[in-house]
Formats: sequence, structure tokens, C-alpha cells
Amino acid sequence: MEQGNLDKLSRIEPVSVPDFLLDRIKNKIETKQIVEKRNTNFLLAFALVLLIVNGGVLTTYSSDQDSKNTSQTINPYSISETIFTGYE
Amino acid sequence: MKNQTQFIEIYHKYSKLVYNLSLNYLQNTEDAQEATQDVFVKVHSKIEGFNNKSSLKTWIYRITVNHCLDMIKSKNRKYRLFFTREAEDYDSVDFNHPGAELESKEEISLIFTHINRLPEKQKIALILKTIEGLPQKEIAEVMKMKEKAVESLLSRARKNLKETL
Repeated sequence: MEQGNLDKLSRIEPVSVPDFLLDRIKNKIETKQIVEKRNTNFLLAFALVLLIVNGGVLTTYSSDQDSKNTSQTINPYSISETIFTGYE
Repeated sequence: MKNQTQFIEIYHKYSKLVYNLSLNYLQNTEDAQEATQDVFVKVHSKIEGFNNKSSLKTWIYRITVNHCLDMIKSKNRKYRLFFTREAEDYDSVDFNHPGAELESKEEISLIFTHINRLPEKQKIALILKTIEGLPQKEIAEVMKMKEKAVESLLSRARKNLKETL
């Protein structure tokens, strides 16, 4: 019984492929390529923005550090007010 | 792909195989057409990385089988999500196989209902052997298994079918 059923399956005839499938496949490939290209462009743009922002942050940080260092430099010839307070 | 004509050649050589294999798995014309399109989009994007470890035919067979299994799983997930009826998974698919003769359509539909209930690997092996007529060696290559394992899958599939049919 079971073998007879399987024999019925082997009698299934192969069918031909609809003509429109190739065009649909070409369209799908084209759409996929456009989406992939768009995603790559978006990623590149995002990376560029990230790079610019990082560069900006670093520049600001280093210029802040520079100005701090300048203000902290002690002038050895300056007279500290505390010295005077000691004699008063 | 370097050459578009190369892809067209591959399409003309294997589209019938992909379409018919998809039909045998999904038993529905629309799904088989969808699967055939997706398989060839995959072939187009992956052909550059294809190494000649297996033949192109075996490679395309493997992509098709895996894609059909993914489609069935995704359909089953949708069925469960909307109807919460596990028993009515893909075996209740609208049978629309143009290769089946009209007078035996009902019988074949019933056989497919039982085949769809088999474990995944048994179903793959059985379809490749019985309908596609592949030799055991080629089935083993498609399924990345040893020939002995395929033999055992086939005998278990036949046994299971015998019990249910």
C-alpha cells in the first residue's frame, strides 16, 4: 500500500517554469543591489559624521587642556598676596 | 557576479529543477514561484563564493531545500501566531501542484499531507529520492550526510508513512 502510494508520487510530472519569473528575479536583484548600495552610503555618511564629531570633541578637549595649562603656569616673579598678609 | 549572461545560463539550466523541487516541498504554485525567485537571488549573490567542493547542481539543490524549509517554518510560525492551532501546520496547505494528474490529485494531496508530518530530514530525503529520483549518493551530498544515514532516514520515513497511510 505504502509503496503504491510512493509510486504515485513518482508519477508527478515536472512542470515548466513561468516565463515571467526571470524578469521578476532580475527586478529583485536590482532592488537588492540598490538597497545594499544605499545602506553602504548611509553607513559611510554615518562614519564620516562620527569622525567629524570625534575630531571636534578631541580638538575642543585639547584646546581646553592647553588653556588650563597656561593658566596654571606660575610666574616666579609675581608677588603673592599671602606674603604681604604675613607682615600685616 | 562578473557576467550577467553567466547567471542567465545558470537560470536556464537549473530553473526547472528549482521550481519543481520547490513545488514538491511547498505544494503550492505561488509559494514555489516565490521560492524560485528567492533561490536565484541567493545564487546570484553567493555564486562568487561558491567553491567547487560540490557540483553546482548539488549546491543549488541545497540552497533550494534550505530555502523551502525556511519558508515552511516561517509559515508555521504565522499560523501559530494567528490561529494557535499547532495541529494545522503546513500539512494543511492549499494543495495546488500542477504536476499532479487531475484524477489522482486528491490521493496525492493526501500522501503529501502525511509526508508533511514527517520529521524534516525524513521529508527531505523522501522527496529527493521518490519524486526527484536522486541517487542516494547525491542525496547525501545535498544533505551533507553519509550515505548510510540517508538510507536509514529513508527507511524510517517509509516506515512512518506505512503506519499513517
